[in-house]
Amino acid sequence: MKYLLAAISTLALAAVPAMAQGNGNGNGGNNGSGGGQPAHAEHANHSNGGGNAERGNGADRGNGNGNADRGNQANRNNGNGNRDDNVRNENRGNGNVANRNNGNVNRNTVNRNAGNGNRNASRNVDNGNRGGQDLNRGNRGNGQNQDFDRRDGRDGGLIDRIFYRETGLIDGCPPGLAKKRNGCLPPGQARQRDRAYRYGNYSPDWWGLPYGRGDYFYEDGYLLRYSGDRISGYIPLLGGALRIGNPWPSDYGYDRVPDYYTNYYGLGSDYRYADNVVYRLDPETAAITSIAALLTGDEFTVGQPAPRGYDVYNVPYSFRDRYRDGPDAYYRYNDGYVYQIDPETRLVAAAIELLL
Amino acid sequence: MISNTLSCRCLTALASSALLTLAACGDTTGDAESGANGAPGTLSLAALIAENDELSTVETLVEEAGLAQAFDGIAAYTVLAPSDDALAALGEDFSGDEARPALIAVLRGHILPGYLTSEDITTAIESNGGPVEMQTMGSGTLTFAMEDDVLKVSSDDGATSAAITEEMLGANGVILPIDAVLKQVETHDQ
Repeated sequence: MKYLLAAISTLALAAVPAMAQGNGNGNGGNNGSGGGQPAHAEHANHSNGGGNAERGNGADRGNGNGNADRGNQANRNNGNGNRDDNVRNENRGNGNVANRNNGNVNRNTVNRNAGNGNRNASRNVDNGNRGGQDLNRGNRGNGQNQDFDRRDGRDGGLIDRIFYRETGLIDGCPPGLAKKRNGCLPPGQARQRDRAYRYGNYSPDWWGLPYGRGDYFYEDGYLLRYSGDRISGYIPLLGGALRIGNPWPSDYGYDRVPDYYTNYYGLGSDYRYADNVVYRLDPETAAITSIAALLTGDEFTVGQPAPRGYDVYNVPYSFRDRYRDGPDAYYRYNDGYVYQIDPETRLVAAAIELLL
Repeated sequence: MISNTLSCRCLTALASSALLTLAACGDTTGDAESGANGAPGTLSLAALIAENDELSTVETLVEEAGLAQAFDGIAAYTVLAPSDDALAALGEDFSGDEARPALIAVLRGHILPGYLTSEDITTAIESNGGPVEMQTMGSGTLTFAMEDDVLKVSSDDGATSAAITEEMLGANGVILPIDAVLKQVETHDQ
């Protein structure tokens, strides 16, 4: 399966001493002094050894702080960038933080590595605004949805899981359907007709969504989940509820991506990332204006085996002179990065940024 | 036999990108040592799709889904683009506005990360001594294999496959037109 920011986590790794430095600063005191500019490819290549070590440290710090930060938002619903470091530490022991520790590790690390104090602060503001809501979703996921639990057990802590926890199923039924159906309770016969109609047997996986099989069916641009005879949750679908001109579904979570991604994909400031798709939005109306990027979310972690499904040399044309497969190294592209892979061990040796 | 569709039209959307400085029009030239082969034209993926008369359904989907901007951008993708006939053969369940999300889900299962030429794929198959896999932007992988000297791509469950007989090399990716849909679908008459 896929975890978007696995790739990004390696950025932290490959991202050179400069990144590690930025990381430390950001974690330590929200000084806003992190190395905001992504490292260049050459740096990444030349700093494997030291870079890895620093990354490891940075990642640990980032995890602890980041997770606690979430706990803080959940409990306090504020996003005070100046205060949250301290609060994070205080909150480490609470239940919410414990729940999130598994999932947030790399994501937080990535954000901190790629970002700086200012960006963290703005992100906190975002989270603060919707912190209570997100927390509830996360708790619901932990408590009721075994798909989320399964994810917890599988990946050992990658960023994307948090995304899915936050963006995942929205409780209840879509507003339009609620009106049509008298509070999400479809007549039995209507339900039978719906379920026999289109795509009734397609699991979320078929739609490219990271949820296990369940009682799902499609209607009106949403994937609806049933619990018994009632719609218990829904997911807006790309091209359906998430289509050009539509406003962002109010309860559909989203997140930001590290600075490198915004630079590489040219995202600007008005975008939202959810379920491996990056959407551009109208800054005034919050309507979707375009898809900025599709991502696999696959996990490439330096020192770990490359994920399955990258058997073919796929480096973008303009980088082929620089990164060619040879006896000492293979190169594979994914989600804005080129990864150097050891031909013998198949371990990821480095993550390389492609910004020129 | 692989034929390359190359074009030298200027691509204003990419005029400022570094890709343009490196992308040159020209014939495909092999480079067995590196696996880096075909030189791309200057068209974007979106433009390549638009100029192929057999890909109008994909073109419409790309526009309606808002993917045109992604396919005009700097990030590289390779699209195994099902022909209009192949998508039409999916039947009524996949027609009309209501079907758009499902068709986009189908399309995502045909989009690969990066820039893969048919020669890259063939080289990988030879090097591997057998079929190779690539991750898609959907939920699974696609499998490539040589069958009777023909490069074929199949869905991860092996249910459907198509021959790759053409490639369109763009500045930001590759279009590989195919005459089948490589994703498991079913009708409602089950």
